[in-house]
Amino acid sequence: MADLTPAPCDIGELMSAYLDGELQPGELDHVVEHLGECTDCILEFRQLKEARATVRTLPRLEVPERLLPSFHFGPELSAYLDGELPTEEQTLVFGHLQACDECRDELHELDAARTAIRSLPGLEPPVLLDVHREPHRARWQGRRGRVVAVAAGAVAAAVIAVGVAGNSAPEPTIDLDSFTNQHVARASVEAGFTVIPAVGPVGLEP
Amino acid sequence: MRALRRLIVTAALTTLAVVAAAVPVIAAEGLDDYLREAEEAEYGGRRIVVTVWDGESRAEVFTVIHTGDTMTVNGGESRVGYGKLDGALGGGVVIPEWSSSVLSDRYAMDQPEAVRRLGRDAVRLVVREGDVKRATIVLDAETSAPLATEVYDGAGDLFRYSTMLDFDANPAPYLAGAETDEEYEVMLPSAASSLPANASGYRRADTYSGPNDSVHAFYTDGLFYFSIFELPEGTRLGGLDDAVVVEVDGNEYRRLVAPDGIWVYWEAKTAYLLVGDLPPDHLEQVLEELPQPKGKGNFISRLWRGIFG
Repeated sequence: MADLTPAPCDIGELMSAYLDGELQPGELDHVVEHLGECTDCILEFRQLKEARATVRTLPRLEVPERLLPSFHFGPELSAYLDGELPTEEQTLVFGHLQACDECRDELHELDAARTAIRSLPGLEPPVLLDVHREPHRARWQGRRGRVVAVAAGAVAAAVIAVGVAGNSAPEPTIDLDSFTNQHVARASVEAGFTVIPAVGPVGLEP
Repeated sequence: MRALRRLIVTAALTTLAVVAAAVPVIAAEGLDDYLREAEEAEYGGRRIVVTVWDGESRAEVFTVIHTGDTMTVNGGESRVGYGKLDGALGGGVVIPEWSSSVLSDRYAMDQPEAVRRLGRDAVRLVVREGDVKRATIVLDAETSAPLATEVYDGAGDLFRYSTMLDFDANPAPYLAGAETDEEYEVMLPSAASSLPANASGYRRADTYSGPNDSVHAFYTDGLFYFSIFELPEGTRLGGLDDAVVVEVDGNEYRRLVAPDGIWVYWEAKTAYLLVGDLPPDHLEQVLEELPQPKGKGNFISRLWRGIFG
């Protein structure tokens, strides 16, 4: 009695290779033989062939690099927020933002950072250490008249003080920068994320 | 099946690519690794630093070049790194010896998150101290440079923010004119310090001789750091005319705030100057553990606390 059990459908992986012309001679005979007796595989083969034909008929599109998923806008996002991009580029960035979560997140972060900085109370120019010099001069000028008026008295007082104190040395005045410099030098060997290691007073010197 | 296998292989490669994009390039595991990588980053650019302290803000834009362990600020106004500072206007200082710091175990880091910043792949680190978010650091994945940082006070409010305004992984374009030629003042280690070995989680790492016979104690918890100078009796400190008087635990201190640091001056048995970048709540806790300012009010408050707790 003839064996009516169909041969096992083991040509699935070979059908694609068959369409690609990549089969070895023995494999080709096997595929042809199986396709002659297995309706399921014939159906699958036709579907595969039709799918490939459809793909081949599709027009080849030249996709701009900027529309590829791997591309992200960087500096353009800042210009986009400022409305400084040319119209075409503005449209391109806008289109990209609709599809790219990463760029959209970055745009939101950038916008939030700008908003935060704008909303800071009383943002002052970085003149911190100048402040202690300018008022010095202002106060000195303002008091000049008074200083002249009391000068004679001061001289007299100084004479008396010298007489009383003998050889006492004047108190030394040390500028803040000397200490800051030493701190910064020591801090520079520390690992960390300190963005500017307290160089403000040095950097702000006129 | 071969088609299916190809599809699977393609899918696997795509998955690998996605995973590779999600995993930070920086070869670091713990927070201290990331901080060390950041310290050795190479980059250039402009960075804005904003500090908000008691409702008042200070801001400054710095041009920075970071090459290895050296940072040059504003085209050579100052150059700091590896234990020395070239201050084009403030002189040179070099410290020949120091002890290595250890990151305090009070800090913990969330799982690093891959993000994008300035159009670049980056890693966002969130540092927590107990229940408080203490800092957020965004490191560039390629260079480990800190692209943005946020530091929070004990109430979880932002008090210092910095971000690169423009960034270049190649610092060369920023190097022009950055050369300086300085003579260095060498600060020698000193064993004498009356200050505590620990102050509110900060360890006194080193002690040096300081300007005008002062004693310099350097404290760190591995994330923030500060110096305290014990000033000889009679020292007059210039530059504090516009310091504001603040009260901490009933004691009065004079305080200056800059975008990148803080200066606190007070007088106890001798005078003290603190310089550093620590958050406001840390500062208050540290001051409470250091010699207290002298004064009538302070004496009364100490007496009150002594009697009634």
